Amino acid sequence: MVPREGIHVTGDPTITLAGVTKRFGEHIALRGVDLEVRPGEIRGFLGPNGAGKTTAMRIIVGLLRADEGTATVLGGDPWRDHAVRADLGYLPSDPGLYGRMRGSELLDYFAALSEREPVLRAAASDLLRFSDADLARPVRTYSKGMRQKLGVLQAVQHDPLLLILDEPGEGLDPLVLSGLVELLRDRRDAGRAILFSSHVLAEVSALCDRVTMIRDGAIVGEGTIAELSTQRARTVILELVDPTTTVELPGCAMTDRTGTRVTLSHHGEVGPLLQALSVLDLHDVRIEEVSLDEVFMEYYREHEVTS
Amino acid sequence: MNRALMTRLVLEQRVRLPLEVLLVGLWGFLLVAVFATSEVFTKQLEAQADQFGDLLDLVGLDPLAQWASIGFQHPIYLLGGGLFAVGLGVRAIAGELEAGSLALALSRPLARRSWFLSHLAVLIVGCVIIGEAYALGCLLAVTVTDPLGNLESVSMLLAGLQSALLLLALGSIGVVISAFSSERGRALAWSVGVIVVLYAANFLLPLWAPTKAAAQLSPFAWFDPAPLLQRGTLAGGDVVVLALYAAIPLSVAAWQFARRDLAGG
Repeated sequence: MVPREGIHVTGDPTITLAGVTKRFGEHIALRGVDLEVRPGEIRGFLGPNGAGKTTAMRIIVGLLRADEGTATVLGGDPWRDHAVRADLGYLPSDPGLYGRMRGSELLDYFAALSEREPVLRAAASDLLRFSDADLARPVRTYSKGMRQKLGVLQAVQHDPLLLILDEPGEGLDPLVLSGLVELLRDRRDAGRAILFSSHVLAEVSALCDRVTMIRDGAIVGEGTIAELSTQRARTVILELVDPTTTVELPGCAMTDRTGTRVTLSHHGEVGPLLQALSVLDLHDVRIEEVSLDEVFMEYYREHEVTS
Repeated sequence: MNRALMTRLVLEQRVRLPLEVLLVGLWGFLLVAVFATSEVFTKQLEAQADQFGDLLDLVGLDPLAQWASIGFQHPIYLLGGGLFAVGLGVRAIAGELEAGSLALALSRPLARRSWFLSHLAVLIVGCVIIGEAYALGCLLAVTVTDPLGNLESVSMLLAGLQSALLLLALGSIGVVISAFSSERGRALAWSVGVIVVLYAANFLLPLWAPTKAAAQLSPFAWFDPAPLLQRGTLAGGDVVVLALYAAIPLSVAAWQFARRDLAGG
């Protein structure tokens, strides 16, 4: 095992993709993708199936070579310099785990390949509710959820500086999922960079500092969830005292008016809106926060219309 | 080569390889035992010893050696050894890629060259063990059954190595096809198909004068342990051709594996 000496967390990006394009024959899987993930950051990677998330992750891990652009991971080129992968933990969407091995043997094998001590195995096993008795069993006897837990364990056990997790919450029960969230937050606080994709948007919004949205191989949105939300329309519902009141509010477009109930769509900052609302005679007002689901769906629909 | 990977590969063979070794060793033992106990052979040999013994000694022909030589080229032996060599060769890249385990291993600081060389080392050692298992099975039967005729231990062990080279050549076909494929089943089907065609070509092409020379393209044409077992002379040219037959596909496979995208699994 190689000790971690000489490697320290810096402010430099852990992952930098610059103009990365990847083709599979006629199909363009990635189109000039730019992505930066820094130490101490959990980045959510969102997109519909076939959007290019897995391809981007495989380029970061060094399994695929970019046709154009550059990928820099932990200061090196993951395709050419296999040594940079010592500080990388990877969970593919469908991890291939040797069924004849016992769980503990499999973890020992991957720790040995990583050339790092599995310093986090015990703590991570506890958080993921993986007992020693489970680890003593052959992997072929595991359920889907247990295989997923073992996949997460092999990725995190050597405390890598960078974690690439493709659908890590897949098949996990809520209790284990909360353990996974705790584990990832703990790693982020320790300065590790984490890039993960998920279809469970609640999981992403609970965990991620920033989100990158990809569609048809191109990045269509990036920022914190708050930033992305302010770019999208909020729903504002007013209950007027007088149904004849004229409603003209900054940044709002009326979508429905039935009696005293007015539904508006609002873009932009909420400050001017609140100021304007304060002079209206209202029974009730409700501003619905834009959820990540709505942001995602709006990006998705917008792109479909564009294309 | 990587120690952890090598250990896993060896452990993975802890059931299959001993079974194949047992099958091949038993084949060698039974072949000689049948020869020793068969009345027909014994009578033929006794008659030959009376009439042609001096002549046979003079030219170095020995029916037992010929019998053991045929065993090396028999489909049962080739199937036993080929199963291991082609199976491991196909699994090395396409099989592990399809299973998703290759992606996990190569996300570690493990060079593709190390992955390839570790598999190659296990393949070579396995082929040698299988080749020598047949030789040892025959020699054990000679000790136990004491047949008429002569089988030199050194020649048998050398012939075992020569047959290991043939098995390696068959395995290298599996490896090169695996290096271009992402599906184990497809790679296995192609490998078996190519080997069956090469085996048939070795027997069928010499039957017709215009195609006779083309039979030389088959690796099976370059494996005949009879001269070694009967006269103790190793056909160095055949060994070199068989070595090339293994080395060329392996080199192509190593080149392809180093540069290919690993998008399967």
